Amino acid sequence: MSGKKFKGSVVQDTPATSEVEIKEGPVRPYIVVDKSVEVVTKRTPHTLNEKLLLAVLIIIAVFVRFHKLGWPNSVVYDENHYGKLITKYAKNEFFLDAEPPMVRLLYNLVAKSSGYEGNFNFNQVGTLYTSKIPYIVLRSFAATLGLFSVILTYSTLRLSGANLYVAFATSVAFIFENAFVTTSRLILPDSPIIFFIALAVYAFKKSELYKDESCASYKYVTISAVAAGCASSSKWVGLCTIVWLGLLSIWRFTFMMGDLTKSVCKSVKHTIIKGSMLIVIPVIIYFLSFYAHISLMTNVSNDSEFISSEYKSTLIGNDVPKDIKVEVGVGSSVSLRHTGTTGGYLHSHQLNYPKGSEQQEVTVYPFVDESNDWTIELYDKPGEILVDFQNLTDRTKIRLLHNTHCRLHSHDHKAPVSENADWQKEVSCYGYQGFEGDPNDDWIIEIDKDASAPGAAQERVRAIETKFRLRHAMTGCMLFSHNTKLPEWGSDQQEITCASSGIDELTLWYIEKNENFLLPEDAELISYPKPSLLQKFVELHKKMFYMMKKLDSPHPASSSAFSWPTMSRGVDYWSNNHRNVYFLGNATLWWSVSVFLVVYAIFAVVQLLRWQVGKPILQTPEVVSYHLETLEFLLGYAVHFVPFIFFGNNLFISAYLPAYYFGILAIGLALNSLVTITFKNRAHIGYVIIALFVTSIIYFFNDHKPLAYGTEWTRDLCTKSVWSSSWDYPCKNYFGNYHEYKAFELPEPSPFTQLETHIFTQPRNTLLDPIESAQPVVNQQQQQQGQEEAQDPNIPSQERVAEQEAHFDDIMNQPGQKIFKDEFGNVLDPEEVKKILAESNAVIKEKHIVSSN
Amino acid sequence: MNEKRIASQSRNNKIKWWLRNILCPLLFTIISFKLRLQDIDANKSVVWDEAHFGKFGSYYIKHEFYHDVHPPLGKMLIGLSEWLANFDGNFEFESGSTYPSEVNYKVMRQFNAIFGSLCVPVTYYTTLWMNFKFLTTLLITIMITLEHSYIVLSKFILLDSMLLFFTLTTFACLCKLNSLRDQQMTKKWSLWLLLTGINIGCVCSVKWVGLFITVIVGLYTIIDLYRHWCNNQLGRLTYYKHWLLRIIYLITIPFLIYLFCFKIHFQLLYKSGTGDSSTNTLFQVNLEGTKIKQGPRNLLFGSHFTMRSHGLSPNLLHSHPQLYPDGSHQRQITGYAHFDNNNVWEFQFIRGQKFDLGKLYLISDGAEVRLIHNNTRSNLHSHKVPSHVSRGNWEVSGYGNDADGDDHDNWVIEIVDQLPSANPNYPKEDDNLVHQFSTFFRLRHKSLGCYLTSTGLSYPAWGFSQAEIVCKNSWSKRDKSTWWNIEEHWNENLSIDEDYLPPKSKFWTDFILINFAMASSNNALVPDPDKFDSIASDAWEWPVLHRGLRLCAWLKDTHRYYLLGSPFNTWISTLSIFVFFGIMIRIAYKWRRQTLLLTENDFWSLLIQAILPFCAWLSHYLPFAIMGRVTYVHHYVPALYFAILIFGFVVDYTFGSSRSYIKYPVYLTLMGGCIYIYILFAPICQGLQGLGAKYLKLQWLRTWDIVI
Repeated sequence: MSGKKFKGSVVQDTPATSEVEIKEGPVRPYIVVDKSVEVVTKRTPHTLNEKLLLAVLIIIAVFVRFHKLGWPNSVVYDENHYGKLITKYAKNEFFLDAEPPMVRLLYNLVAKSSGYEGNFNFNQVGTLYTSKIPYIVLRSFAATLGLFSVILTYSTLRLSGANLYVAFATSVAFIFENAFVTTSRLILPDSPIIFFIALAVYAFKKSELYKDESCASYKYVTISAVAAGCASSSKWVGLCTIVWLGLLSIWRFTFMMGDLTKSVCKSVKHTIIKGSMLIVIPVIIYFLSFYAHISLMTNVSNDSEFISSEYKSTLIGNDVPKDIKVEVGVGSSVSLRHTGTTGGYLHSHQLNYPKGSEQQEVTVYPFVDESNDWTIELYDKPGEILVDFQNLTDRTKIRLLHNTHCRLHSHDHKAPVSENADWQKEVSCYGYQGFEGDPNDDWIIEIDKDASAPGAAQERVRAIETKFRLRHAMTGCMLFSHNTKLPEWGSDQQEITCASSGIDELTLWYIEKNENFLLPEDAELISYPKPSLLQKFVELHKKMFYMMKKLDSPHPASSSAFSWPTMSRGVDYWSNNHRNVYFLGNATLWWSVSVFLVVYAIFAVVQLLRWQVGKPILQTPEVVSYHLETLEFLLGYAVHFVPFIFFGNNLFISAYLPAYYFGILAIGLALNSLVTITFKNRAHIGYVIIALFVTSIIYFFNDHKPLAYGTEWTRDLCTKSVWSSSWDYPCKNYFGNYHEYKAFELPEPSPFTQLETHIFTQPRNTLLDPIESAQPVVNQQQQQQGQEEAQDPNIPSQERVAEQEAHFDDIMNQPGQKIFKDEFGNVLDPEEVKKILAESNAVIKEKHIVSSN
Repeated sequence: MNEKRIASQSRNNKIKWWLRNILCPLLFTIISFKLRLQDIDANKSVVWDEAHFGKFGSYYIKHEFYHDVHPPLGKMLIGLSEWLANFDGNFEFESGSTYPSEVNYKVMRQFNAIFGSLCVPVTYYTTLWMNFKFLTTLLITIMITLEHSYIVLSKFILLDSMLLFFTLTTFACLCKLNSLRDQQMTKKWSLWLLLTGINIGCVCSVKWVGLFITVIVGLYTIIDLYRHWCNNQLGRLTYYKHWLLRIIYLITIPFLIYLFCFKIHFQLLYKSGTGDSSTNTLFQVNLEGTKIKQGPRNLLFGSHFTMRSHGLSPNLLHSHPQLYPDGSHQRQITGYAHFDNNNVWEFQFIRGQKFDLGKLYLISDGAEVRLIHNNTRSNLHSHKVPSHVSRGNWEVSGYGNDADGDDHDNWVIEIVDQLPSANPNYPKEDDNLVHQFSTFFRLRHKSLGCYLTSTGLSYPAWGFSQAEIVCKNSWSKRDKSTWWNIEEHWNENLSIDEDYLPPKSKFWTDFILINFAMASSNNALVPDPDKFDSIASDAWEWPVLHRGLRLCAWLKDTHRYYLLGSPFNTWISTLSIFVFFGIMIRIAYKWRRQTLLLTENDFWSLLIQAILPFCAWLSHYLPFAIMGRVTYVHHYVPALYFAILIFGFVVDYTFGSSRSYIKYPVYLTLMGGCIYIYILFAPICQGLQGLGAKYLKLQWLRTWDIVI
């Protein structure tokens, strides 16, 4: 707190053209925030020399980043996922995904403008591309954004005070960074996100160059906010960028406060306006991206099973019941829908619980089905012949008769799956034809007035409008369901229990189907209300969060955030045709950044402490400027990295790229300090060091580029290139020498894509499907595992999830319901399957599990 | 004349000193005792968590080993109070049950109330040492004396009042140290440093929440040492001495106290009890009346046994009929701490091994074995399928049966340690053989080369939250998570050696294990998101006083106690946190514009009066807001204290130096408000009696369930 003085000489020595201006205040010196005209000119590219340099940079970038874009000519890694989503957009199908839509909207725009009609099947990683999909155009789009990022890197460094040669050298290093090369040439989200973040950084730094109140300053803040908005609409990491911009604004504000030449009022005003722009503009862009997303998805699909009926009823081709008779009464045949989950309808079928009471199962089932029908009876008059219509009011005691002649029942047995939760009891369907039921079949209707539509629906049960609970009369527990699946014996359907202390949302039900012969033909009808855009927006977000939570289970390619700075592992993207694409950073640059961060942190702390005890430290304006600029990028690194340590369990190393980008900017400034500070009077030494550094980066790139481009390599060279034993790219895939590649014939895309058809002998509730598709790496891994297993004799073939080939006729002869699905999970007609089988070399794979006993 | 004036002035000063330092705190202490001891036995049943802590205390009387999430000091003190009350341990403290006449619960509660009552004088001195204006000291002390939640928690056999007391004393010591910061290295100062250390040790030995105040002491110490570092006049040697003293007093002594508590804990609890299964085999077999039976010393092929991990989660290798929901879909292998038939395994020859029927084969170092689960008959198996919870390990599953299987069922025994018997006369055993209890071995998967490991993580609901067992590529032989030992052993072909005494367990191992077990039980206290828990509450609800907590059954004819902070104290202290921000921003602004010159003394006084209480509030509040554990209203109790101190600072800063015609009315209004609210809400902590309807006026918020 005690104000230690700057060395007075520093203040006097400050020349007008120096990086920052330091003035003497009444108590201690302070930094002048506004940049002098000289600094502004110095940091803006204007000389011919510099323009030439920039042109050279662009040429190198084009050469490196656009090299052989058409190869691999098959689906690589997440291209599978994004390709599927683009296809869905093209077909206007509804889908759920765990990420905001900006990236896929952009890809969709590119695909559409080059004539993609959605008729390519993104089977799995390794599927050969055909002429149906303009994949090279899509990849060029990613590569172009990658190219822009290079230019932005250069310009940002210049804005932060680096001289043009250092900025050039750092940008060259960035061009040759393997990880960026790999991701920016594929249809992946990384390239757009890096571009948006780089743009946001550039524009914000640019805005700082001008006076606060100037138009140019506002213009660049707007651009920065738009870019940050686009980044946040692409992936959540974009929020970190917004946070960083906000922190930077505050950081700058504290300097404006310390700058005694500035008026406080104006500073406050401009900071507040710019700060709100940084919040409002991204929010608007985020909404717009969802608006586009929602308006593109107009048709029903498999995923639409998992959204509310309200939303679903707005999709084309939906099977949501409409014009339902609104008054529910005794004798009505109804279907009950659960509100707290999208599990579906109260359902029972002729299977019994294997444990507990061993009575008939009651589940929540997502599809409309006759087994969802229940007849409402008064508890004391089961099976009564009705003559008058009688409404169901609050507190009516009823029984629910299923069309298998049993009644909804609960008793003191452990819940079938949640058996450890003592507050949940089993719910079953009990009874037989002619049996009148027992008191354990009695349920009391309790209308939730707050959740029901205002008016009559709060007094008596009306279809759709009234939300109610069913209280078990004997034990007082409530009919309850939650996101817990029954095992195979329950057909993977959702568990139902009777809960004595379930949370309110999960005990709420309403009536969807309602038939009652006592109601007149012209009785009042009701359909689902159409949700507003905002309601759809909210619902999609709830689903997104739910899916993100479900993604928690660990995945072999995922890694912990702590391992990223050391790049202990990459990610296998594609392995085919004796070639690999593997996500691997440029170790030289990657590790330099990590080491630099640690060294700089120690250095900064030591300097700060030295200064505090009154020891002289280097305090020329260059040094002050260098530290201030570097700290901003380090803050960027921290903000884009630290959240991953706390949140998200299933992370991939590519999530480190934004933080890494900030690290590269910081190292660029460090290189600059070599020239301007460390070797101030012998700058040539600094330049030699920089040249060596960049050369070693290019060397590493050159050494590992087959992994980035997926090109030919030899096994020996590959093995030699493994610097760390944890880099697990499969060198054994490569041939021993290049001659063998000449003899090896590459597969050509065939007119028919191979079709993999699963069949399931039981109707399955497939809530997992969208989740799997959200994480396409799973597919890739399965495929690889398949390869490995085929080669590895140590693993016995009978012990894993087997997908056996089956014959169409054999299947049709088996008992049970059959559902044919293609590899996307689309349900196919048996006739269609027959046709496909006859026409192509497709196979049917029967999915079943070989248990170990 | 002049002398007379001086004399009278000095007499005045003396009176003033007596008034401030003795009489005033004495008066508050008396009131505090009165409020906390009043009607302490009115509710004759086991209230709230007395069911836990009373019971834990009784285990010290009965010497039975138990396991709990909190360190032992608080519970040992409760045990002491039970011993003072001549309690014989024969009451189970079942929640809501009535105390029998022979249990003198009043003494136990009074013992606990002493801690609660003493919080008041501690607060008084703390605020004096913080150098607040006298009026502020009075105001804060009144608020603490009349805080409903402190009163109600002092009345029962709980850990909260002890935790609060030690937290307060630790902070008081810190304030005293700060007031002595110009007399460092004096005897007086060292004494207070020692006291601080002792209090840190105590608070951390009551609950781990004590670490939060320890952090504050640490923060202060760093700033203090930094000040010395900046001081050029201070010699290096003296500087290192400063470090050394603080390391000894503030780190070593607290740790020794913590350790000592566990030493007593283990000494007192020498009989087998409810907590056995959370410890390792050696600890369990050394307990009196252990459930583990001694079997034959040497293991054979064909022996039945259970085996326990020696890692940080000492569980028994377990399997059951349930399958993995993904991965291989084979049978689950888990770690389970408790006795169960499904823990029993059998050693078998690997497939294709030739052996003579009727001949006995010993299990020795390097033996290739197959482990068969006794109930399901499946083989312990591993393969290149990723593990389910941890990363980078292979799944271990139960596969096949006696007849079916493959060479992925084969494991190799690697003995890593043999311990001698506790009986010195017992002959030395063959180090190459596997023995019950005393042999530690690793199980290497023959084809994968990985080791059977208990990771310390738990499976989700499908695995019944049991411990994860994987096959791990372990690079170090010292990796204890791959160590196993045989716990029970059955073999009809061998006889049992009665002379054998199992080795004693090491205190250090037991200490580490019990601390990890505490951590994992603490982490296991996660709420079920589907369940509505009427007594749990979220962190955001506490500062706004959204909900209270019924401590006992809500019957008409009993004294009912409702845990709710004083609305005056809670709301006004929460509000003051916002004002605090305003004040801080104002100071920062003025400093930045160079219109305010902060002297070093200004800084230290700002630090102790405002910044540290705020940091302490944050450190006592934020962890509860962030962590996933289930949380209750009483978790806010220590944080509330610091919020009240912040309120004190805000009032002191704003009105402390203003003109008396503003100052006195403000202070009097605040004190009056606090007293009025106390009187109004007194029944919630002194016992609500009779019909609920008469307390309707206290139902200020719909969420307070005081009446209905």
